[in-house]
Amino acid sequence: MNSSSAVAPGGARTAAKRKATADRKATAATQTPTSTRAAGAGGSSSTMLKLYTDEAQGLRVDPLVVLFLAVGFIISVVVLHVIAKMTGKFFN
Amino acid sequence: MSGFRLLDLVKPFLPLLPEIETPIERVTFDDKVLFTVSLGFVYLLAGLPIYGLPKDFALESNPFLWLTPVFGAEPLTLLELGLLPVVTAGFVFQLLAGLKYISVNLSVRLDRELFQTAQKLLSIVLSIVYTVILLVSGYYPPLASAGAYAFVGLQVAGTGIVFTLLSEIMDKGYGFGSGALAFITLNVATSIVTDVAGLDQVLVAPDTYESRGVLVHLVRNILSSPIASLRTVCTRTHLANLPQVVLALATILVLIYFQNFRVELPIRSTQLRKIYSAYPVRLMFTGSMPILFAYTALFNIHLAGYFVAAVAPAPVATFVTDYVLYYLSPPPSLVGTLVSPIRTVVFGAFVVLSAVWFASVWSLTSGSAGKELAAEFKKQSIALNGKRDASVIKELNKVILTASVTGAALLAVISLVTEYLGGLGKGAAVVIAVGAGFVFLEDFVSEFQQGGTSQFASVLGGAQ
Repeated sequence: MNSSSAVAPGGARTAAKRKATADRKATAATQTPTSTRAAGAGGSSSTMLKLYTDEAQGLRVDPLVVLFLAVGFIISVVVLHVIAKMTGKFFN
Repeated sequence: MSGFRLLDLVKPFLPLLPEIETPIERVTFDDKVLFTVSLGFVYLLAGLPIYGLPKDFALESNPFLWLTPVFGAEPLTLLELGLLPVVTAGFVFQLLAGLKYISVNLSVRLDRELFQTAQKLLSIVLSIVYTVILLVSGYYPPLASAGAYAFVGLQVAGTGIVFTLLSEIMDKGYGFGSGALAFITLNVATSIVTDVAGLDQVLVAPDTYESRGVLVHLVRNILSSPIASLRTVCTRTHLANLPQVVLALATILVLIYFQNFRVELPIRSTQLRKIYSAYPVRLMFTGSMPILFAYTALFNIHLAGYFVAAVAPAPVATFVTDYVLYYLSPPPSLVGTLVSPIRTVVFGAFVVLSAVWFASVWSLTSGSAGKELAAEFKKQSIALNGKRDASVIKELNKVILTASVTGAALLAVISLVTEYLGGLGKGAAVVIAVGAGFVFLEDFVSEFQQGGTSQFASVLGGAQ
């Protein structure tokens, strides 16, 4: 046996196959996840659309505050309706 | 990685956009119930007429009527847009990332945050854009001044933004399941009840009032004018009619039946001998997402077309309304379905193809493809019976793709049947709501079982 062409131990025997394996490993290593759930961070599942699961930087607010502001927004429209009705009754 | 990235555009907006705090500790079952109920209550409150529109104004022909139930939208109320901006923004970004059209590395935390903020920003921008489209294209009746238009726009766009944030609360784990889907489901559930037994009188034409509920209208008028009232109840299009209600109820039953269809993959434990079990892959693997996607595409096309038809010169405008929008909308009734076969076929093909395409990519874009499932199997020392480790991914992908594509096609056909029979979007909305309802139920039950002590549980379930 010729020692100069000795094959390194382990792995595929031919250079072409070794390269293919190396390439496959390289692409697997550089591949990025296609979704937040695949990255292990929650998010949309197969049957459910979820947009917000991480805490991003931004103007941090408590959920209850948002809830009350939302109700406030709607109530303000209710109040407008009521005022319109009243003024319509009294001034027309 | 160098060069320009779409996501970097979002960076300047980061400090400006409100961000709901993620719960610091596990939200208890009771808190989740409370949050979900109060969010639902806020949603129902928002079904309030827009302030500033003329009083006895009824849309004679609303071009979006058949699209609104799918998105929990209510014409001429604050919920004019419903959840459309949220859903569109989510689909756009998650599909772009899943198909690798934008460069984002979701395993990096900062990228994930940017990605999420981008969805929120798009949702807010879309709320404003859609509102402007409606205002510019003459959807609303002529108002007194520019200020009045601006005020109407402020209410519609503002509600869109509010619901972006409210669905964020739900998504972040304060409630059950997904925010957008929960609101849509709630809308469908309440609208079915009001369609059957709504007591209120609605102005449908000058000086003509009709009861909202089909049964109520029938009962109220059956003695005075039996034939006329039956006729109205079966044929009216401005409010829900009897065939629509029956169809919706039948669709629910059919969907519940199909929900149980599944392929059971034989699995075994790699740790213990002779422990065999089955891993179910549902026929509705992607749930109702494909239909939601198809209708999201349709609504966006119709809004864009409506805008073009209003501002473009006459030949383009007529082309858009007479061809593009006409063929991409369902026939209004069974008669229409039979009389205009090209429209029937084109609309059907669009819904089926977009649903199937979506189903074929969604398992990849939602992290539920064979690769992720195989990793999960490995973590739990599960192996597919008779399959080598290397071929598990391939085998799972094969089953998942077949299931999701078949399931999507089946759902598309079911919703098309209801559309062809004159469902006006109610059938499709029911399809989406039932799918979402099952997800919601699963989340609810799993939370309930691992939720620790719960006041609600002890009240509802007696002594436990």
